[in-house]
Amino acid sequence: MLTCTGGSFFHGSNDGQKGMGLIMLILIGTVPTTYALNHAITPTQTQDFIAVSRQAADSLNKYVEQSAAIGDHRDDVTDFIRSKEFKPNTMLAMRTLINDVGTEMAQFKDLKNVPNDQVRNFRNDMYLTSEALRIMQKSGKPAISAADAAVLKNYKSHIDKATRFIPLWVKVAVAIALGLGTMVGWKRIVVTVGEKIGKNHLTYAQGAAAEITAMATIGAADYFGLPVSTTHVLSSGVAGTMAANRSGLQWGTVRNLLMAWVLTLPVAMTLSGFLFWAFRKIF
Amino acid sequence: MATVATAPTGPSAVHEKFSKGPGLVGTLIFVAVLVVGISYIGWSLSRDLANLHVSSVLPYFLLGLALFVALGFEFVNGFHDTANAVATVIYTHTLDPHIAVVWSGFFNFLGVVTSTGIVAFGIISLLPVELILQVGSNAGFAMVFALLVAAILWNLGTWYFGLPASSSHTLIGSIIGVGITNQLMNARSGTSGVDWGQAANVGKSLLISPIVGFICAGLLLVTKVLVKDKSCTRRPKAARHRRSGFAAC
Repeated sequence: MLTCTGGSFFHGSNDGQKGMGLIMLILIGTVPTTYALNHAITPTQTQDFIAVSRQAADSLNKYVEQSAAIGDHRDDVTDFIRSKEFKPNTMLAMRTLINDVGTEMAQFKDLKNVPNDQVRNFRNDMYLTSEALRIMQKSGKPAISAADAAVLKNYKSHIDKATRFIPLWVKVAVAIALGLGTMVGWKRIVVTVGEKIGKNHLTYAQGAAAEITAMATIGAADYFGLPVSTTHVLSSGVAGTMAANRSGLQWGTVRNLLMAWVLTLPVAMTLSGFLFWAFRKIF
Repeated sequence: MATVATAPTGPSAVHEKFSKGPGLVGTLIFVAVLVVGISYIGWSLSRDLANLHVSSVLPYFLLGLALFVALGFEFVNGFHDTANAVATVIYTHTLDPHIAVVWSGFFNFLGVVTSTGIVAFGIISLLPVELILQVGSNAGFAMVFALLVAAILWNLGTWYFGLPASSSHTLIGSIIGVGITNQLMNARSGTSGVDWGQAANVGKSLLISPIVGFICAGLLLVTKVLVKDKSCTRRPKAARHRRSGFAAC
């Protein structure tokens, strides 16, 4: 029972976020004036932001190469994010972008004052900066001294605070949708896991063993950064206990399960690709 | 209810519980949650949008539609994933199915509300950057809808056949699909818009997860040795503490 509670909790905090990310994207797309920038940021925090932004630009300045040519800085940074290839121009473009964002922020003083027609650009500039910093940090290219890296990290957290927020009502909506979905559609899956994988039904020990493994795996996967799927672990855990108990497996079901897992990626790819193409043609 | 004519076995007792609807109280709670939730969402939205002056109705329509589809995705998602968490509890008779589902739903709710959103924005950064930047455009909407509809379709399909598939994989697959198509439609060479690292991760997880799951077998064997009591590994009897018709097996 504890494992079930924990499983639901972690699952909710993890899985619900997929929907939230997309909902925020929708909100930003349809009503940018309200949702593109975090209006909860106070003027004092904006002052902070401007100071940190200056530090960040100074730090990056040390890494701008002599050969860098001034181009369109937005295009340069976008190219960097897309291709993840660091070019001499990238750093110069980044510095310009950070300076721009800082100057604009100094003008507006408060995120609520950003004029409607500039909100989207302002947000996009921040998004580009944040993403580019993330990729630089991850790839370790170019090599940045520890002190400068700390400055940039601090700057990135300030940017993310201004652009990456989720209103409470979105969380509540997602949570309700998820919960109601479970209450309506849980039976089919439960029956498969409980009855159709093995020839016998689950026993206490099997249930506990499968749940404990699933829980331990979530923890371990986070720790080691292993890509695992709770669904897969739990189902195969049940299968494993069945095998160990010599109760026998229902190979038809197991085969279907494996088929579904392997097919998930290609089918989802094809479906979404086709739909995207169709929607682009219609709109 | 002491009429114990036959001795029903565990599973049939479970099925009896399955078919026993959620009951009046359950339905009332369900409806109440729904009403409170919708009114809270509506109130928040109208408060947020109050100072907004848009001449046309189209953005509102799109917003409503998109929200509906996105919440639909979560709804279908709930079909799958939480069901995994409750399956074992129900079959071991630790909890009554309906209580287990509501319990799990409640903790799911807490989990979502307390989440930070890091994963949420991690998902976004997998999408083609040019589509993120112009998310208000037609291409942006086409992307969001394509993602959601594809994911819903596959999730519904696997649910219909009762197969517990991973909705994370489904979503990542959809994202890659959109990335590739976007690449092809813009006639840009290469597949740079696609995060192949994520695809590789899914591939790895397909290999690792079942193996990790099978470690369970070992775990079970350990518990078998530790717990000498044989009753633990036998099929659980229908909940003994319930004084109902199927109490006597």
